[in-house]
Amino acid sequence: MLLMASTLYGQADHVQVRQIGDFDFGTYISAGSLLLEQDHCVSSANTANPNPPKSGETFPYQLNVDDVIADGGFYLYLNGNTAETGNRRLFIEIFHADMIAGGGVYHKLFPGVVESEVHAGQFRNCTQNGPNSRVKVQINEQDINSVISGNYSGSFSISAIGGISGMAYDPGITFNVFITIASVSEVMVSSLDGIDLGTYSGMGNISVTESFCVYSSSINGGYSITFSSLNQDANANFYLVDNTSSDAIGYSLSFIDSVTSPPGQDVGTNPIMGAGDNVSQDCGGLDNATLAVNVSEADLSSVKSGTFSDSITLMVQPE
Amino acid sequence: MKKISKLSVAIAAASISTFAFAATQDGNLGATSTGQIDLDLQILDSVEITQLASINFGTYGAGDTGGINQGDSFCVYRNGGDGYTITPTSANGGFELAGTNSNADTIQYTVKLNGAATGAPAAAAVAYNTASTTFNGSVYRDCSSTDNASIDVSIAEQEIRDATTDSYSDTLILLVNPI
Repeated sequence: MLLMASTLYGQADHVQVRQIGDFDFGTYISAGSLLLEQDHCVSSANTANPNPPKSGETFPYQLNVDDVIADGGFYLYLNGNTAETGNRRLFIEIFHADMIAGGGVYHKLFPGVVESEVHAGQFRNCTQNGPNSRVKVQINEQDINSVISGNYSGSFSISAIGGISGMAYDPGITFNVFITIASVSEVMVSSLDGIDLGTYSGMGNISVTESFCVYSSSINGGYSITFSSLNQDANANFYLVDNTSSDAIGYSLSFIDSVTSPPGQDVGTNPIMGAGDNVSQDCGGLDNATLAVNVSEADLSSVKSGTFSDSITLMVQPE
Repeated sequence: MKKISKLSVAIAAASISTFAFAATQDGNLGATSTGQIDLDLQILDSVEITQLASINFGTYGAGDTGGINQGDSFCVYRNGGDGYTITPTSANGGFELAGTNSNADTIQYTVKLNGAATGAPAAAAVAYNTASTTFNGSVYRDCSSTDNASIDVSIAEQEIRDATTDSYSDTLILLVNPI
């Protein structure tokens, strides 16, 4: 049997990447970054025999992971459509660790670029020391939050060079990465500032606006927003209150999901629908929603002099 | 003809808004996001006197006897319906009507104020450039079209008889101060 094996494999400039499974992240519904790891065997030797003869010797290897299309990074695509870009394309990172000689320390891989690190190859199938290569796929929270919900997938290849010459080439294997971004999208309200209604000395109504940013990862950036306040009564009326005298001034709110039009929708107990930014969590530094606080002269005139305040709570939900 | 005019004055104390907005905060990224906006407003003292009309004593001749008095009701707005005082002064520098035809004679008069649309004739006289007693204003700038203060101007008979025949007038200035 030994003689037959020697005849079968013989002397060879051998390098081989053993199959790796798909990376399936399942359904993403909560915050946080994700990672999955898989171990496999990369053989690089002067023989292709998994049971090497006494003359058998292993040699270093280097991996090259590539995307199916050259678009500058590792990406998963909405519904696997590689034509997708922007917030319909999910950026991922791929790392490699040498589990034998490298102590399992990861280094980052770049698409279509042979890694600069050199690793210790094994004999075919790694039967002596077990899997010697670990691949990690990582998806960062901020990247997940930058895409719309849906099913994302991508295909990748792992090839290797190594063997006696260091230039033996194995086109390797392919693997897939899957993740479903749940339709429970994420939202964020930001760029909020306090509203100074100023000083009032007895003439006219007051109307002051505050613009802010609403991000929603839902398709088209859909969201609903509700408003409540510290001094709101059981009938959902809003009040500014002087904590010294307990005097109260009624006021109303109006809202619009724009900064170019005046707030036109009265705020009540029902949620108001809007469209936010579904690409940038900070709306690219630009506000996209406006709240107006309106106080009538009649209400302002009816109270004693003093300092009045309230605190409005805005709750945004994806739609 | 003797005539008294009045001038309205609105006073508002100056102040500077200095709010901190300690609780205003952005929301976090998540399945829902909740933010908070602080509102602050400072209401300053404010008053306004309106609905004033001129007071015309008419003519006083040989057939007339006794002192005369005329009055007017008006509106005083005060935020919160709080208190105010009225300090009367006049263009002539005292409660006196001055002749209009190079006549040096003057006619002294008395001013009474009340914090209701009627009742001023029975009120105590107010000294020149002295604050009245405290009244409460209306929370409505137009007093809901119902006057809430009044003035009475009276002249003793002898003051009239001491004066040369002429037309006498003054402009009464009512300064309203929030209390």
